Amino acid sequence: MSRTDRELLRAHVDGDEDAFGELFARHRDRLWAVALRTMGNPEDAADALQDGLISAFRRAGSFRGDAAVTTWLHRVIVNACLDRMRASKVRAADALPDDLEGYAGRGALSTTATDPRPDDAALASEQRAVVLEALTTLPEEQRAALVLVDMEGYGVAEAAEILDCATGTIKSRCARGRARLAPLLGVLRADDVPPPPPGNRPETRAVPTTDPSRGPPD
Amino acid sequence: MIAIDEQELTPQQSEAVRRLLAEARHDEPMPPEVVARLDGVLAELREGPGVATRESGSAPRAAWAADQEPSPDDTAGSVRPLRRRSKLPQMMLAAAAVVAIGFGVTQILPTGDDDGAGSGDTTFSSDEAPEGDSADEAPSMGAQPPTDAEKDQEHTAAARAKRLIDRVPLTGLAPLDTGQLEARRATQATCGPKSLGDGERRVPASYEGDPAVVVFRTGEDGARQADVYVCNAADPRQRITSVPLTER
Repeated sequence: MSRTDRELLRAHVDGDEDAFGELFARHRDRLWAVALRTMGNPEDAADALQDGLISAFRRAGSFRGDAAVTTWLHRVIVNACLDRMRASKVRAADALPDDLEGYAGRGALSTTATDPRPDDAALASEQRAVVLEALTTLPEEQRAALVLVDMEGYGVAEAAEILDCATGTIKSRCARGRARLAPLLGVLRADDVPPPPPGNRPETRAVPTTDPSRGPPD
Repeated sequence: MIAIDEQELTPQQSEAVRRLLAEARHDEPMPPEVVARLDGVLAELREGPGVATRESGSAPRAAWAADQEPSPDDTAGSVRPLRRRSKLPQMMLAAAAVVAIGFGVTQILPTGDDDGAGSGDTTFSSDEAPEGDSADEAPSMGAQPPTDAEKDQEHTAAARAKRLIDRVPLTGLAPLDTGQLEARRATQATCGPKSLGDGERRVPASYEGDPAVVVFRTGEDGARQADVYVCNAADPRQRITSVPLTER
């Protein structure tokens, strides 16, 4: 019978040499996906993942048990990613290519395009590349929030736990991040997006916020 | 006026962005080379003397760490990047070189009480002087070329710096060699904390090609840790990260 995440972490703290490896192997693919999308390239992702791995290994005893082990692991990894991105800020000029604005006019990014194309795979690949490139232009906190919520499908509450902030902060970061990405992805082009329906907006908006510039609630 | 990149999106626009992001998610497993690399790190961590149990409090970690004399190849758990990056724009390097006139050899020279019996960290002087009397406030701009004796000291200091930096498991962090030390004199005046507390040591280093300073100190949990500052960052007095020292 396999041990639970919590049991594995406790066993690691108690000296079981194999427990942490088993725990990490259990979640490594998803942790890798988060690190890869947060960092933007596999080399930096591997570096950050290694940082996080070492930190989690050494600080397992500090796990208080008030969150899921996987949430804690994600928090450690994402923090390692954020630390690396902050450390690399001096090179931030590299992150925004001069011609990035030009992506906004690319037909490939038409978000409502329905015409069948013979090279759908190539188109999807190009779209993905542009999305990932645009993602790197976001402030790291917004990027991390979008990676967790929109890419990896975490709920706002769990993303808030991972990023150690309020749910309102996650919503705000996601909304602002999407707003920044929209022009880069061609979403704001009038011919790409149908006009909103008349009347009030539906209540299904994913991350409503009334004041994007506000800080996290108490 | 709302900037174009901050304007509120319609639900359709927001959903379109979300869909594009979802389509760009990564679904592949971790690459085998990364798995192998991390497995290697885990193996090294496991080989450490009871790292996990010490974390749980079976022995005072700081006291244990202080008894260890780090060797130059003490890199257990240290980071081995898949590639070495030198992305720093050449302009930044040039600017750093211009600014970094005269590295304070005194920052890393052995002190008189260096008997090698204490923590490896204590082999470095630095900001031992009281606040207001530190090298931070009097960078040795335009110092005379070192004598042979001073060069010998620099070699020794560089070796000690390497031993310390090697204990910091942070990707991209590298010790300086003797020649680099000479070129990095003034950076310490404006990089890292203005003054150091008891038991804290400042060691110059390089972080992903950038001039950096590592401050070794004892954390609140009693364990030795390293604060890393990047000297040409927006705020060189703001640490970019803090990591526990590698134990062996």
